Amino acid sequence: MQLRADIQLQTAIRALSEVVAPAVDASNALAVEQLQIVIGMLHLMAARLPLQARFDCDELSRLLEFSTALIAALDGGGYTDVITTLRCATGEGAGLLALAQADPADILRVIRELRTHTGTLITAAYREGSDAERARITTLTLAHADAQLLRERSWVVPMGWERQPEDLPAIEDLLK
Amino acid sequence: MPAFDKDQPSPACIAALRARFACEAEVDRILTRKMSLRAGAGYVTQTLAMLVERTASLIRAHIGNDFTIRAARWLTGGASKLQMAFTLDWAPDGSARQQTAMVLRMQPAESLVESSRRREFEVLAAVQSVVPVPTVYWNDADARHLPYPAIVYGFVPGVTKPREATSQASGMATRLAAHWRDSLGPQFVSCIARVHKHAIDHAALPSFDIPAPGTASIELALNHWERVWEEDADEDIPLMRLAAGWLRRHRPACAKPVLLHGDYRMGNFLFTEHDARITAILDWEMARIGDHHFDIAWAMNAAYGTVDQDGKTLLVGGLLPESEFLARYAQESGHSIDPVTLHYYKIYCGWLQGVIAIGTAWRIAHNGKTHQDVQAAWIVGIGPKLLAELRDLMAQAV
Repeated sequence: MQLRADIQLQTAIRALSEVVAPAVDASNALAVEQLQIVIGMLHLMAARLPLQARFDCDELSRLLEFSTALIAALDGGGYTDVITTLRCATGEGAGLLALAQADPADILRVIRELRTHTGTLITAAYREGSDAERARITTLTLAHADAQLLRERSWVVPMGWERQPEDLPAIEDLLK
Repeated sequence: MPAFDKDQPSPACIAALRARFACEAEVDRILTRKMSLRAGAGYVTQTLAMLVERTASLIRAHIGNDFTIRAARWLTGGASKLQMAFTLDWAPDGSARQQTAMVLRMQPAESLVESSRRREFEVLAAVQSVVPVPTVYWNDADARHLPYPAIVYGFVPGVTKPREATSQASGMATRLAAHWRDSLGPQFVSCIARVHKHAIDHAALPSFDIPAPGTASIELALNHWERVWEEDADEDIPLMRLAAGWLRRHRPACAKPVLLHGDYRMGNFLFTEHDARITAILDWEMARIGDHHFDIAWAMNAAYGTVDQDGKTLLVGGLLPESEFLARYAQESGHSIDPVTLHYYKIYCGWLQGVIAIGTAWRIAHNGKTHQDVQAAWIVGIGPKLLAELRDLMAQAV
């Protein structure tokens, strides 16, 4: 998927800074101030969005250490119900943290590598392969495109490009 | 996908791309220029005062000092180029003093469609007597006066859609009332038929290669746009690779190459609302010599059309049903339409739209190369829909 948050934020900031801001009435202090705040907020989002998942994992790992230490310190001290609840949440958190250790940037890197290598294989096989091989890669590529493009179209439905957006499944229902 | 750093291509990488994809000489020149400048600055914001001063420099070089530029203002509407309207107070060729409405059309540092101002100037001059187009005045193809390559042509009154019509960016999916369709539809067909019937004069189009009959024109076109994909695309797309392979393998022969507009569709012509008359065919930057099926397939693209009130009839450009469009075109142009070749060019057009809307739009926005990066990024969002249509066209072909 090419239309990611990074380029949306980058171009929105530039449009607001270089086109919109100079055109705002300088005597409208409220508009000038709020535009500057919006631009600042978008800068912060652009800088921090790539780190958000890591931030959450980092916080979760420290909370797990903290809660484990609290349980050890206070277990048997008369807080049975609360400690049982906390132990349960700590166990769930530990399980989730183990699943969430992959950096989203690494996932994106591997996605891009797989796109590149599958694309290179398609180009080579279509040019040099047999008719049967061409038929097979065509079937496989069209099937892959069908599923992938359904998700990408659903992702950008709010942009208004679709003639009948109601015919597309919601992105929440398509993602595993 | 990048096998090289596309944001900072080395001279060796640029040379390798040039060797791999043999293009028309002028296309090679502008793509090489683009890649040579890519690592440099992004688009530098221009004020009206700056552009007026530089435009005056261009005009002065042609007619001397006896002129005044008045009423400069921005024009909107193009997704690719920057446009400034102005009035020139001058006495052309010693005649009486007059005020002529003009437009400066300038490319940004990189464009949604990287194209040649020299070619655009030549083709506009070549079709002045064929279809309504703006009068061309001056050309700054090498940016000797303006900050980026530019041309100056006459301002033509008109609109790209009626005030009450709705559409998406760049004239896509424009919805027109029946009376507009009845008036504009036949003119829309007639204009492209006249362009395709026009005899090609190489002397008038020196920046255009004139390919021989056969597959030469489509090979040049595939080389051009596959090179752009390699230069611009960020992440690879298996479907785009499959389509490129299919297009190479199934190239149709063209018996008689014609002058192609290259971007013939709703949104790229002006008309006056009081009489529903087409006053100018615009945006000739993708013009080339090739198979007439290309312009027809491009105009028929679903993204530029709408569905009629019956919910099933696709209106070409929102103007007239496909069957009527094709019948009128064949009758007026004298060119027959081969369904297999037309389908080939529909796939080619879908692939080309993918190159532009996903590959180039992302790259120029990413590198801050335009006056409206946010619009380029917005255009990336139509990519999935265009690719879904390409996927369906491919499925029908196999």
